[in-house]
Amino acid sequence: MKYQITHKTIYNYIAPVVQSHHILHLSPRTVPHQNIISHTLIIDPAPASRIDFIDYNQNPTANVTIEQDHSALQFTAQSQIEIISTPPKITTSPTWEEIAASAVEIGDLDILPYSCWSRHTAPSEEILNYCKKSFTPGRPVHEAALDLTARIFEEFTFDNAATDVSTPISEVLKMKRGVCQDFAHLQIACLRALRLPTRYVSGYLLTRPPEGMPKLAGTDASHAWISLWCGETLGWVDFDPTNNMIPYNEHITFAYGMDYDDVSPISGVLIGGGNQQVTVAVDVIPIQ
Amino acid sequence: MPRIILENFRQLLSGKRYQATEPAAIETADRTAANWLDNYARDKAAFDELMTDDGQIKPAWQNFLGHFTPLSDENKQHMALKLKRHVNENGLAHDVYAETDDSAQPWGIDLLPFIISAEEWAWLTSAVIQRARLLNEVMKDIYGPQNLLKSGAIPPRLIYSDPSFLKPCMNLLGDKEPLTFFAIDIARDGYGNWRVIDTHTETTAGIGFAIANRVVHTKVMGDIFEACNIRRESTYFQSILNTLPGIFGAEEKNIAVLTHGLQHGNYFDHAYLSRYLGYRLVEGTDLRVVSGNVYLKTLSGLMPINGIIRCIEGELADPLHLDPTGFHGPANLIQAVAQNPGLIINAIGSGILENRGLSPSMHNLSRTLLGEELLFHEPERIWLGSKANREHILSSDNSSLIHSTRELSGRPGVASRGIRLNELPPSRRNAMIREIEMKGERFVAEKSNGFSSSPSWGSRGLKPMPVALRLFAMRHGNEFEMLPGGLAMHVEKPETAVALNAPDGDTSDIWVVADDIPPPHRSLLTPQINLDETDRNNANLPSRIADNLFWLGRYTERAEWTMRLMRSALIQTEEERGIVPDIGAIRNTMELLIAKGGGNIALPPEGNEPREIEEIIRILSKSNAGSFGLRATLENILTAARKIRDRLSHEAWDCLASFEKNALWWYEVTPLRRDDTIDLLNEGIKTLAAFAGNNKENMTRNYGWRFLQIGKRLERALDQCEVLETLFARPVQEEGQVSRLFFMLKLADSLITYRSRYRFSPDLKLVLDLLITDESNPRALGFQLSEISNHINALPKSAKDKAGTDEQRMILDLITKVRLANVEDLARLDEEHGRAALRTLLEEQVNNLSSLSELLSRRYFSLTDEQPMRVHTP
Repeated sequence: MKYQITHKTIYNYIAPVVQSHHILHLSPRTVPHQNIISHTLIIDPAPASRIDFIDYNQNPTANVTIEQDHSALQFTAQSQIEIISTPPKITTSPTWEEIAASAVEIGDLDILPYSCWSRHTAPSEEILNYCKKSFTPGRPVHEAALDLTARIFEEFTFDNAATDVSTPISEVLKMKRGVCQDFAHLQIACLRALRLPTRYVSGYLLTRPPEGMPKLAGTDASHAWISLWCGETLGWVDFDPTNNMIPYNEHITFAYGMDYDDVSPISGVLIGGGNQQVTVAVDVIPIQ
Repeated sequence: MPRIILENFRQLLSGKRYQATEPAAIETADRTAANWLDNYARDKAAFDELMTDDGQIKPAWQNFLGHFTPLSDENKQHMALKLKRHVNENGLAHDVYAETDDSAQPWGIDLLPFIISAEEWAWLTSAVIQRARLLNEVMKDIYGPQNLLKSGAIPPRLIYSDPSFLKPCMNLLGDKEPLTFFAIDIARDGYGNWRVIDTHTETTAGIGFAIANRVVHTKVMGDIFEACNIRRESTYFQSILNTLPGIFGAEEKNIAVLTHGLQHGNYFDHAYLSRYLGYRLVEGTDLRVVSGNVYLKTLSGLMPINGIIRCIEGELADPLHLDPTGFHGPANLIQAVAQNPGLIINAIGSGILENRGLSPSMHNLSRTLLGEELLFHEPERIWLGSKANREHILSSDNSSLIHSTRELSGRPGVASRGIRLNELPPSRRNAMIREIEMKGERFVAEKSNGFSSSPSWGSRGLKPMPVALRLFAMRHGNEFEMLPGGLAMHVEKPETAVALNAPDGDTSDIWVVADDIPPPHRSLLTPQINLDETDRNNANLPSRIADNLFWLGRYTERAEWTMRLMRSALIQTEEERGIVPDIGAIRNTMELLIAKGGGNIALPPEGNEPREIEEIIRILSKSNAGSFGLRATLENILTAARKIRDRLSHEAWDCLASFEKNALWWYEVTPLRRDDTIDLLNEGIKTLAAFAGNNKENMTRNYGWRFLQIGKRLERALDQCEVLETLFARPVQEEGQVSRLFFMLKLADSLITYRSRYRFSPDLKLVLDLLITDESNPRALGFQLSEISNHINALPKSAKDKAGTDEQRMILDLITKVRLANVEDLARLDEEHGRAALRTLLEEQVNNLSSLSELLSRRYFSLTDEQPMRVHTP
């Protein structure tokens, strides 16, 4: 499958911004099952400095500073990506206890750090209890993770008015509401409470309009799901608690991190600006 | 012993600072000493610093006691009191700049020093420096190749579970050495072996407190200090001063000490250090990163900063790349570090080395990285991130002390206590067990090793106190050098203390006996400044300071004005009790203040009775009188003054602090009768006059002074215009104008001037001339404007403003309007519209003065009063 992904963000400020610094995760990372056909990132007004680098999670990152007064700022990222993967067929996996025990032993620093909790994924007794209903003793890790994914999907309501970036997962667990980010953070907190290496995945998802309706421009959104280390044989396996599935050819991966803080598409600090208004338009379009 | 005492006593008598003791006292000295030692009830199980097991005084202390013991009891008590007074006067309390109330943690210095012999110091020096060198190498690996993590020499989960491990700092060190400042807390176990309690690698860890302790302590003990041949600290700081510019590759004037600001408990430490070293003290919002370089925003523009001594935690240093929850450092500082790895000491991320879970790995690390055996004893400590360790502690060893892997504060005297599972009640114990199972990575468990005791001065002589030491080392080229001294801290609950803990704040100065003749004394508090380089005008004044001075000027003037208004109203109603023809106008002037500040309070019903005026006066001093109420203004004064505390003279600060200390200003319901209220207002006005007078006598006429003055003049002009407008420009009946004129003259402190000039009852034309156009009257509008104009013309300007700035044009316009005004026109009354010309003039002045304030802010303070803002994708 090939996709064209356009992610356009426009900030309008009431007062002029004197200086702004941004960190952008708008460029796709290299992953085994994806080819990057093309990628462009346009910033308007043109930044005084733009430093592209690979961050500590191996994600392509841009550090951008705008020094001129501006009252609007626009980021347009366009990427063409090819996904080569087959539907996952997992029949057996090690028990979750084996994975947790081996995680402590692994000297591989690409895996082990993801078993430690972070700001958005701190463990608690409630989280541990919620998780243990799926992670019963001796259960194969993929089976338990699928069960947890399904439970979050069934028990939680998608509601983008219920939470924001700062809502803690303890609150999400209480309300049983949230968006993909919240569900991903919650599932990661569950898995890391058991010391299982789990990554936050930031990317995009192909969406379909209701039957018989045309697809409207700009109505897609960025998406978040998780990736769990399932041992040497299976490697990292993705789970999407928002859609109750193992992603393969309709999820496009852009970045991995400990949590949202590591991979937020745009984060910035401004001087000036006053109130701001943000418009985001995302399109994920299959191409030939 | 007796011989030593006699010998030293001769030196003592030649000293002039404390009273010579009568010769007869020499014979009693030994006896007094003996009495003391009898009362010195040391714990026989613990190691004692002063005495051997068989009660002999240890050599390091003999010389000191030889000088101290013979002093009379009165003399000793006197010294102890004097020391206490010096501590208070120096503001050597933890939170001195933050809060002055009694709840602030006090700081105490024991009259007795902690004495270390030259031999012992030599060993400690090598042990401390070995630890500094070792941690320096550990940091280079953790933030570089991470071989120690890959090999398991350090458990990787220990590092990755600690939020002070800052991943954005990976591979940023270049070829620089990460550690420059290093401090260590040590204590002696029962066998007399020194062991490490904690290491401090994040910030300067209280070195400012150590210097301040020495400075204050030697004010009282200076003669004995001299006589005992104790090593000086100033040589050490001289070496810092010589080395730091080299470490940074920067000129001294471009080095800054980065602090959290006044609200932080360690502000004293940071301020003291920066003053001692002669570097500027800055806060995060003073700095800006432009194209990967750091600049300080000053009155004359951006000034490059090439070296930062970091007193804030690493995670707070950059809100863009690191902790996104605050603004303690400038955004994008990490980018500046990436371009210039030596920019900041200690390198950002160094806090990870404070993790106590590293203890068990130390012996191996020392062998691997240094090829040396570890000199210091490690505590018996295990990290609970390992499953085996957790099981051991939870199942079989309930008596170990459990505490977190890291204190968040490097502040001396503050530490969390360890807890023992077997001492917890069952419910808390089970909760704790679950916590450890879940978050074991952030806990360690250890055996308590106890503390040695050292003598402390008490009202009944010497008593032994458990003690721990904080010692400091600092990079000097490729080596580390020890501060010959440090902080000794009394430990309150030695049985559970896991780190330095001095809730009573008592510390002792550490005296290191010199093994050679010490160099002559040279305090760095006497600045060594090259005259050519002094910036007399203070063009490099940080904008934040100028901003606060400007507002301090405005608020102090506003307070004085409000007090005058209240006082005049009270006096007026008193004089005219019964016949109050014009009290409504007076009432209006005060209602104006409440309305302007959005006061949320019900006013007494419309009426012109004196008691209603009194009621409004009471309202003005309440907390809900709005932002122009007296109470809000006094609060604003204290806030602004605290932020620039170190720019004010001691006496000027005392003037303002007296408002805080007098509870009468802060009562919600005043217990005062009207006479007492007038007395209080008189006192307040006097205090503000003293503040202004003190500044006039003591402040250098630099840009800081000018901003204080501009603020004051601008506020006075504004307040006066508004009241003149309220009293005279509105359409009202003519009757009562005389009392209104008297009121206005008294308010503007110009009644005497008026009477000496005109000798007859007030006439509006003459009053307007005196209060608006007369530029020789320091209370006139014209005078304020001409002063403001002088100050504005003298402020620094950029090259492109050669033709004059907007502020200059605006003040010129305002002055011209006042000079052109004709008082006859101004005083002319129109039945329907009041005095239209007066009104137009005053309204224009008020509007443009407010705009002028904004223009000045934008040019000189902008980006400082404006908090940075954060954006995220939704």
